[in-house]
Amino acid sequence: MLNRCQFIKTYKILSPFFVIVILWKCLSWLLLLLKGVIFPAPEDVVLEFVRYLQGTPIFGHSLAAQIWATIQRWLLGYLLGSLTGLVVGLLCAISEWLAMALYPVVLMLQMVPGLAWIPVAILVVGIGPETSIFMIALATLPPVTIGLMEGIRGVPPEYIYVSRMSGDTAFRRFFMTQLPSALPSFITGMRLALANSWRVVVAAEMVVGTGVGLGYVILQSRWDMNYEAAFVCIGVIVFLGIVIERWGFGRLEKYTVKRWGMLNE
Amino acid sequence: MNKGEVLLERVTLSWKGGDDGRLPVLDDLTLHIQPREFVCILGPSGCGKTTLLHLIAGFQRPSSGRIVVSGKEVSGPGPERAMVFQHSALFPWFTVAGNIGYGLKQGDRGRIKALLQLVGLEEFAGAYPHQLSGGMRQKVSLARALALEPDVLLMDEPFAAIDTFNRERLQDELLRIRAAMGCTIVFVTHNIQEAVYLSDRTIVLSKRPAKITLEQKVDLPFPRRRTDQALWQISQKLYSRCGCCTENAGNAPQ
Repeated sequence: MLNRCQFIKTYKILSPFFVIVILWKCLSWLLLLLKGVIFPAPEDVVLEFVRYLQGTPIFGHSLAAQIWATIQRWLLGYLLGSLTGLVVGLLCAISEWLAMALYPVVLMLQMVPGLAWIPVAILVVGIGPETSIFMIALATLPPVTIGLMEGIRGVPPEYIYVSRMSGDTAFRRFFMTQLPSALPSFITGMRLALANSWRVVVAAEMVVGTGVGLGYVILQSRWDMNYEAAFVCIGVIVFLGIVIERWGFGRLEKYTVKRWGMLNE
Repeated sequence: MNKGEVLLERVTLSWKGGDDGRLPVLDDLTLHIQPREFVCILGPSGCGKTTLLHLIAGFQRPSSGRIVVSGKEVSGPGPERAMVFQHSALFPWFTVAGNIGYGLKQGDRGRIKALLQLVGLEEFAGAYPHQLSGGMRQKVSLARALALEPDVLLMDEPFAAIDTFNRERLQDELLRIRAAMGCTIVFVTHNIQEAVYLSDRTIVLSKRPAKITLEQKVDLPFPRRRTDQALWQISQKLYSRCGCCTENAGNAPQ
């Protein structure tokens, strides 16, 4: 038998899935009863998922290819966006003058909904894979810059005092004191950017469809009445998002800010 | 030049704000601290004790007056005036050894080791600050300041957040280290017994704008006994004087 500790661990992992399955099942029964709509039940979706795993293509490509297309786009856009965001954030942190000019622009960008960039993206890079990458990058940039800036603005004055009395150059102070002190806030920015960009990648694929990708499949399933495929894709999207979040940022935090006691668990 | 000598000449500091656009914090403060002297600064909270230390450290500039340390006028922070902060202000991302060695040239491991020995934390060289107790953190903070080989050590209520038992142990450690290092110490506190036990001279500041209301020599040899009658009498005297000076500081006759 499981002991108490193991039970809690298992419960923690499985109970949310129970909630989802129960709510889902109830919804599909209710819809059938009240409106006569055939709503895919969890087990149908699982079966469909198994078929895809065995190699049945969805809308011309295997599930793996669809996933890979989405991840590739997201990764490119995310890297591009966070790198630019990092550079802009560093510029703002180095110079008060640059911050006055650039930071409000970033705050304004933050307020633009990801999908509002569609016409702009089409004008700038045309229709193609670049369109979604452009939009993903724009959704990634603001949280990264803001996270870095707020982190550097929030450096406790004592840290600066210690650095100054130790005779640091401004360069050393920046890299040894201000940047590490800003790390928790910067990582939070990167996480927000991940959530932002992950939403945008799926939405962008729906609108500027390039024939492959999870967002594209979800939209196509509507025309084909293949709703199971849509649910499979939603599940995959959620799963991938959580994996990237947990494995990527969870690890990063474990070896930095958590190890240093800068974050309460 | 006198290494470790601290001179404050008619130092005044005002902040922006208040009724007439300026808020006086320190009012015409003149103070002369001898090399190797241990001076405690007592005063009600918010009177500008910490500000006074920041001025000597060079983190802030006075509105008028002059501050001279070791024969040089203070114009900014420097390693000859090292500070120990109330809440240790250790860098969480460096280990204990990394924090102590922050201001040292790289590879000066011998010096870090000696300082770890001095504060009795050799086994904790590789620990991170959040793994230490409050008292241990203050010891590391002290070692980090001493690593700079300062002429003057500035201490801002370093033991205020530590329980009585450990505070007394830390006070004795500080006295032991002081005997070994021989730098001038300016120690801010609001604990009268602590001030009398530690210092060669205790200076009492009034409420804001701070003036010196009392200077009390403590001419007792080290090591001192906490139960010493003479020590107790000096404390009593300060208690009675501080009681009155904290109540109506601004218009107390000098």
